[in-house]
Amino acid sequence: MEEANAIEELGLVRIDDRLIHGQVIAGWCKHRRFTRIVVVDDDMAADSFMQQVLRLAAPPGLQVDVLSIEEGIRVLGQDAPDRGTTMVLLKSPLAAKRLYDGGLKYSALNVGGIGSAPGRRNIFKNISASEEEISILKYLVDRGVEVTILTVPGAKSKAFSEVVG
Amino acid sequence: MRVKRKVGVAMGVSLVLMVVSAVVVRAAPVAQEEPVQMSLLMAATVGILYYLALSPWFANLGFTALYRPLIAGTLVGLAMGRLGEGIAIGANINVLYLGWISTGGSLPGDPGLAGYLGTALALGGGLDVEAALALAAPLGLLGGLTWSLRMSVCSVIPHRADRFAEEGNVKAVARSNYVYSQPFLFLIYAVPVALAAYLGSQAVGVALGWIAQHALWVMNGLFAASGMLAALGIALNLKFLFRGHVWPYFLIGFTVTALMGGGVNLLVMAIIGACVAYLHVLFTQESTGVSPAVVAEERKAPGLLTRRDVFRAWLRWLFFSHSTYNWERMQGLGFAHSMTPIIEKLYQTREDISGALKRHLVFFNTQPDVGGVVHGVVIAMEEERAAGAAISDDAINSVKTGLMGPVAGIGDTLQQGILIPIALSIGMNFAVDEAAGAATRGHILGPAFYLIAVAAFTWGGGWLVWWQGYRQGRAAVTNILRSGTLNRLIVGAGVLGNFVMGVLAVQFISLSTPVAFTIGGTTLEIQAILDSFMPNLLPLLLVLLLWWLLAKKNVSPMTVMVSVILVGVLGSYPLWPGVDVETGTTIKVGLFG
Repeated sequence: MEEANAIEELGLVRIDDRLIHGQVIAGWCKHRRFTRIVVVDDDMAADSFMQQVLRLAAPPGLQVDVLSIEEGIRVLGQDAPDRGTTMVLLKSPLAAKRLYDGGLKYSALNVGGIGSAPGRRNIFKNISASEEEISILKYLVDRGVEVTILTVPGAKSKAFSEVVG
Repeated sequence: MRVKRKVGVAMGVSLVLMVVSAVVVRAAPVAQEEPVQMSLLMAATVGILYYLALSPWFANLGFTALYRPLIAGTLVGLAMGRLGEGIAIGANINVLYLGWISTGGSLPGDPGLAGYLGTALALGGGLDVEAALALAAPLGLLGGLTWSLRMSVCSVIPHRADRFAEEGNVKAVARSNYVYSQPFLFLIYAVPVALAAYLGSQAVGVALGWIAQHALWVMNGLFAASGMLAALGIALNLKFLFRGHVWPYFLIGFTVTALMGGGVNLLVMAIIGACVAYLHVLFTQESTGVSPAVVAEERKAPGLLTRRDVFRAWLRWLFFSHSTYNWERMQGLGFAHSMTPIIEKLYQTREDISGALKRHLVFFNTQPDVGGVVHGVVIAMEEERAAGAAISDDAINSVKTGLMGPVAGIGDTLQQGILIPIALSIGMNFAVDEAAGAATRGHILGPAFYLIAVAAFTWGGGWLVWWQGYRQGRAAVTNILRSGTLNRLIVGAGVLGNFVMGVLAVQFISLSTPVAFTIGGTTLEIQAILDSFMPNLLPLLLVLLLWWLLAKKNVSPMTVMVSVILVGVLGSYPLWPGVDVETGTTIKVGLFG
């Protein structure tokens, strides 16, 4: 039998609390050829109206799936088709950690946008995070995940570890 | 494949259309004028104009219109008494920023700075219209510096608004959105640009004087670099437009315009482009793909708000959505400001007012025109809540946070991806059509066309979705997104975009060579040989080369820009064999001429 190929990396794993919006459509989808966007979020997975909105908001030709975290871990695993052209969108660092701990290992995490909210402080430009979220991102960095702050391709990127020393 | 055959039919029909309606207008020579003496008043005006372009005072036409080099050049030209030249310079600079997109508060480069300062320095320093872009392009790169400063400093202001919200002071929250930020923005935008315009034009004048005396070839180099930079602007667009089956429309636009000698009748071309796009959509888009809009379960408004209240809220958003734009909450304060007329009308007790203000002071970010549908929905929810319905803070919040992203995606696609580039292209076409403005060169019709197109979208479209959001509630969002016309519009715009880029490529990219070899008494002029293959062959090859570098080799636009300027200027050093036109003797020439 042939040796199994190395697992294809997911195209992009991105934390962006606005999910599918201008940066994702005009930025990422125009620079990279994605075939599928998977939004992994428990609330969204239970909200049929929001699922409809997200599907309609995506550019034509892109498949949009909205999954709960549990489903995400199962569906996006190593046997998933087209992993390399799949963009995974998450709302928060906590979701990223739950995916990772649940067995969906990814080697790179893009932090695209986290808005301010009570308990969060601004850490870099458009990125805010609570102490808990910062430690989650550090946790992922410690496990070898390359956590990068980047809004859109071509903009200046910054390693997360540079921002919080 | 079926699709390909249909595309072929569409293109065949459009070619016939074009050949039948070909109108040739020849270019008139341009008289060179003396530089304008830059006065302090003029420089101050330029600085203030740049601030105004980034200010909230023009009902959202600041960033969408005044900030674009086409309009910037027009206004600076007006201020400096050279309207025609200003328009033409603005149009030339704008080519580079046609595909410029700012999404979610990320702003690469600064078309406004390139437009205002670039035009001022070109007019004040006596730089030619066709050479101005080489000066303006590097200026545009400086703008990013103030953007980050603005976004950071303005993050402080919402915290002050939080305190007013705590007190339930509606008026003070509204005021804090535009009172504190504007003097600061005036300081960081108007003052440096005014100084740069005043001192810079003298510096540019001195530098150009030196060049004219000692190194005339550099002057040629600036012309060459500007003509080639236009190719970068077009190539940046092609990177997005060359998707799917629509790239041949670029070549059609290009070759037809080249055949007509570049001076095409703009109105005819715009109409042809629209016909071609319509035919393409007709032949390729399945009509069954249009899903009908959901019949909105007509929301029963409790009747606490009038149309006038909803309109007053919209006006506040239209003007002040971005006046305190900042990293921390983006348009959060702008959202709260827009809700102030609603809150005043719906809530009476201090607790209710304070609670509503705080509810809307949180992070918010969307595309301001199409995004207004979210505000409409939220106003409807607030009205129902005030009438006694059990609508929690969480419910309102999740509508805002859930919808702001998706509607921004559609809004950015429509406005920044389609409307602005195409309206600008047509406007620039009008602006530099020599026939239209033979004496003054630039024509006011160009910027005027652009302004009207953008105002119609921003004001008309903006109010429409806002009102529908209020009338229908959440169903309005799915209805706007669902209507099949949206996809057809996007596909059609891709066709029109390719076509228009082809036309612009001929009109704005200039690249030719004076190099000639004399072998055994016969002179071989390279340009004449190239022309015998096809007119405008070099500009076409250049734009395709730059597109290939950007799209296939992932070279950054910045690297391409710097390389193009270097190649243009250094390549103009007289090192190559050529022939003096008047005497016929052999001389040294630059690569480009």
